[in-house]
Amino acid sequence: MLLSLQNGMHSMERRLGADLMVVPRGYERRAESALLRGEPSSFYLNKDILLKISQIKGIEQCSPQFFLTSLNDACCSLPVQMIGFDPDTDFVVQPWISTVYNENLSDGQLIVGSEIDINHNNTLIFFRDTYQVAAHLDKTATGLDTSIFMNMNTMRSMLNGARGVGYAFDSPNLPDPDKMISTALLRIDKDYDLDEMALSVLSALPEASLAIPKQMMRGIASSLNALTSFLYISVFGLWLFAALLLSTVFFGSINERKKEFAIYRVLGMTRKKLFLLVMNEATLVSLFGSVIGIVLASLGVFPFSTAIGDKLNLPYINPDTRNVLLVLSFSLALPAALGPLGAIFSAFKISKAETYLVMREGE
Amino acid sequence: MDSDDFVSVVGHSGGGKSTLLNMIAGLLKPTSGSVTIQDQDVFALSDEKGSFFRNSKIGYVPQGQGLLANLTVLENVCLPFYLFKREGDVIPKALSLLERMGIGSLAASYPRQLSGGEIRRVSIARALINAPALSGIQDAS
Repeated sequence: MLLSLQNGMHSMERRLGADLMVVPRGYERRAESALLRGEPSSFYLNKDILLKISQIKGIEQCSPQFFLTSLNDACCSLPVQMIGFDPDTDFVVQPWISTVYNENLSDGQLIVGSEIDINHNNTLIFFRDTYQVAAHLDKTATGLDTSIFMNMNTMRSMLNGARGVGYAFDSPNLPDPDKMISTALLRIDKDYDLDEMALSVLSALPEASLAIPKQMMRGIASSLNALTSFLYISVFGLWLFAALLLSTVFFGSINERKKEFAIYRVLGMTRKKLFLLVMNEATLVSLFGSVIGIVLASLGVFPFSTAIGDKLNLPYINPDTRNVLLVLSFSLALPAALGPLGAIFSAFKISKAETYLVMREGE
Repeated sequence: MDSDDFVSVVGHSGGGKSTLLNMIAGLLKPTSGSVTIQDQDVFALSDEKGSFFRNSKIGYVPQGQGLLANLTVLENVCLPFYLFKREGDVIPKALSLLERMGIGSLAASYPRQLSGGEIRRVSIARALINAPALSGIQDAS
């Protein structure tokens, strides 16, 4: 779980690549909801804001995006957040699109989030028009998993289609990618302070507001840190409890079977062999127990990872196979070591016991 | 005692019969004196050698339930043979001993399925499996 949460966090860090998001005043929360939770949202600013932004000192890169939400209606395959980006200026979307799709995204092509289902023809229908899906993105555990990306020409086709089906835009002006944008993604020059730049942008753009991905990350990171600290302490406590419990169980079990061990001594087993017999038994019991534990935990965690992520309300991505195998090996090795450690005192004690006295006990 | 001697130790309760037998079996070190079997001081040996000596030279039948509950009768009888590396197949000999004890049909049974007398006979067969120089039966009645 901890690895899944950390994976989700790292994925989110990589995907939210802009330092600042310029959005219409009052739309910061909706932008955040669209990015983090995939809640479909569309809002618009006049495109001339890009000119104003270009005049602000300290902005290294600026790329506009245009949002549109599809309809939960017969005209559309599904209601999702659609994001049009400008391939010439984009520095956020294309770098991670390139991990799944090497070519330039053509007009009419879509790149879809990991949670969007497509039909066997690799197409989706929006506003009664069919679009080709070029690739599925990897899971990010953010709202981007339920978003669809396209270039601005495709977005124009979408808008035409939307007008054709009588889409009611909530903007006072009809949105047009040539005149309007939804957000401008900004990358700040590394020599400039993010907070100071945020103030500069706000003062230069009175009609706009800012969503700051790093601040969103900070909120999630603090939730995640609290949760991971709690989980680490719980795990440590559980291991400690398990070690004590194993030690007690082995002590009780060996004590209960001391006559049986005395018979081995009577028949000629050496103290060393008796010690190893008990230790081997403890190792086997621990290994068997850890295998059962791993199977049960895997059945509880992997099939329900989506539900766990939803409940935690945090980015949650299962670790890759290598890390899963590492965790499984650790989960197998630690109990296999803890069991014998818990039994070592009892094994030593029984191997040193006076056989005659043990045999006579209770007679 | 010479080879083939048969000795019974009789005495009142608490008189030291079990103590004596356990000393002879190498399980209880005497506070004074020594236990010598075939010219070997049993307590002068290391644990490794002493255990092997006990395993191969002494057949000991303890008082009461002395079988391992999770092993069958045959496995219980063969166990002393397997505690040290030895050549050969012990199972025919174990079966033969069980036949001689009159419990050959119980080879696959578990101790919990046996009566007290049958358990004693299995213990005796086990004590004889390595053809010991000396056999000691505690409370042989």
